[in-house]
Amino acid sequence: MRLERLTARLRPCPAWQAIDLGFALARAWFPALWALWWCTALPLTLMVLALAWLHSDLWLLALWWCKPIYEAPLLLWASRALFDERPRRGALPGMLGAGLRPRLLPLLLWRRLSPRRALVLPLLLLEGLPGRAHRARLRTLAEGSASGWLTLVCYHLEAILWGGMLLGLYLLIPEGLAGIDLVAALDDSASPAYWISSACYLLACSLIAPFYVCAGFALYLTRRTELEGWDIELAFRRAPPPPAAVLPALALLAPLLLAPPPAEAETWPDPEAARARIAEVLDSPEFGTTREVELWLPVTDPAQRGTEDAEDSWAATPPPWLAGTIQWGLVTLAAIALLVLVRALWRERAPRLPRSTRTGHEAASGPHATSPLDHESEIRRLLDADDPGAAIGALYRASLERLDRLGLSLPPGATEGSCVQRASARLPRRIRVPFAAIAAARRHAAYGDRAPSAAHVERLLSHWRRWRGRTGAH
Amino acid sequence: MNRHPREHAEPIDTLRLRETPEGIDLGLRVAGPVPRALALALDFLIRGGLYLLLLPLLALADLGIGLALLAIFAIEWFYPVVFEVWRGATPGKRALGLRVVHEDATPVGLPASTLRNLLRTVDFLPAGYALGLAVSLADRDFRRIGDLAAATLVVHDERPATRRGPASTAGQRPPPEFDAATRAAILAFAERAPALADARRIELAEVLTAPRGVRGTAAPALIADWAAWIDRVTPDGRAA
Repeated sequence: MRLERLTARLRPCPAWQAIDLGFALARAWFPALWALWWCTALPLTLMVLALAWLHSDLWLLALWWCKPIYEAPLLLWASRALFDERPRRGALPGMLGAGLRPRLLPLLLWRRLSPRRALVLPLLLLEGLPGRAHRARLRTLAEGSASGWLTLVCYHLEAILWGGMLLGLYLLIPEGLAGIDLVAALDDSASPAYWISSACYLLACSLIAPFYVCAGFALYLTRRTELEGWDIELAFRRAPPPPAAVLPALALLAPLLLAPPPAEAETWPDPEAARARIAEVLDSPEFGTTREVELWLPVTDPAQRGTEDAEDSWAATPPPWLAGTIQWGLVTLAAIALLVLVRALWRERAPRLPRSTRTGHEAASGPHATSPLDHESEIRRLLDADDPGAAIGALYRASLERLDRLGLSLPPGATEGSCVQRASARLPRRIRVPFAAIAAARRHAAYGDRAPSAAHVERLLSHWRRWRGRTGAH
Repeated sequence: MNRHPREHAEPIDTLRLRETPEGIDLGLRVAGPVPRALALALDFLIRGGLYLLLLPLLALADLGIGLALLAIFAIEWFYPVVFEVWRGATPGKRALGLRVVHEDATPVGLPASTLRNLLRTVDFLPAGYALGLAVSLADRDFRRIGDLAAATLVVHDERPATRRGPASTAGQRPPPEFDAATRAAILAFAERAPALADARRIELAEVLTAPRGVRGTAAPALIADWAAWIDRVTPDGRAA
């Protein structure tokens, strides 16, 4: 074993990192390992195809069971490549049969389902210990290794690649063509879809196999490195030899060393030249860069300010009073704006009534400035002027005033409807029915623009006179 | 077998170095699909638990269904973002010792986290993150599409190393020709020697000491002395 020729850096590390190292190895050697896998698997595939009487499920099961046969050559190849000895073509046929060696038989029989298969393979193939020693050695090597997890995860990786390939094929076949029946691909072993699915699985196996074998190999190597200190041995071998060992070598080389050495090694540069050289080196961009930065700074030197004032025009340095005026002007504007805002807000908060209702209500609830007779003469005057709309309005206001006097409190801004509602809740029928009629006529005149006929107003007026007369007797 | 010339001068490793402006190399151990898939599964279970907590909302008829739908939307889209920005990783990732960082090793921010989680919809295609798996297997740093777009990495969190206490003896000064890598290996040997088999310990120590004339059980003892000298603590408490 020549550790100096290792092509991978081995060190004691946790099992997960060992597995990752194995994946890195497989990635570096992938084309060769993949081709080697098919070199063994392809003949066997065709042979089993004939033996399985074209039963695709049996065919796949047999190929799956024979996995160690294809994996052994990969491991043998990897073990040579690790020590930088890529096997030549001539050595390949001997290597292909590696999986059929008698000592690998357990792997094909009762060890086939062992979760530690990746770790057992290097032990059987590279060490080949007899029964009891093998078991003890396996116990030592398997300690702390995650080989069970490795097998479990690799089965899943195969399944994911297989599912991905199958689903990808299914999705990528255009609709017009005969697609793959996914259910048949899983279920019906006689269907062509099942054959495609099996081929996909075989391809997935071939893709994962190099990674699985190399990860198992890396677990084995890492454990041995830990147990045997391979990395330490490598570092010790690379340690510089002791001077005593160097001296005889120097004696042999003496004639060469005594020859006139190169001129530049002999003459030291003089300090001046060296200093110039150092300055030159320090000027190079690696040791720093120059940047131009523009910034404003206050003028602190009055002398400097004076010269600038004299030189600059009025526009460049405006007189100080201008700035003060602008400042106070802005402050005044801000104060005015604030006042306007406050006033607008105050107005917004004050309650606002529709002007027409307020005046109507004031007329209704105001002091008894007008007597009922005045009302009546006013209504009559409007009727004579052929303005029944204004007349019914006057009649409505007069009746509101009447209701107010009867003790019916009407809120400011109450509509005709709410007045009728209140009246009907509080007042007797003989008042509220005529009032409702007046309110309805008023509503039609005011909002519907349908003025009542003069006769209707006359009728309402006579009703009103009647109930006013009765209530007035109170 | 013949020896081909090396294709990669650099050994294969999952450690990525990022240089800070101060010239210090920070090591990031990128995380591969296996721990990330397990973290995803754990997060899925946790989200499922949160959805179960929403079930009582359904008793409120239409209002409850509306609230539950809003909650599901929030959990589905913001659960990873919130935890990544707040704690650096979702609970599932923390359980697996993973963390999300920007490519330059700074903690992930809101824009990058939002972008990488929005693009989960693309990574998910056509089913079960198949596209994301294929992309992360092909990428050198195991990044999925969301990581590529947002320039983020999922890395193994650096667990604080259990340091040995300072050595009880003053030790012995190691030969001056030892470089930093050799000194680090000497310290590592002193730390891991108890776990090594006796024969292997002597064999390993002799690799370094045999050229200097020390063999047998004296070899590990000599290296332990050197380690003690390197690991000595100065009076003001700083490591030398």
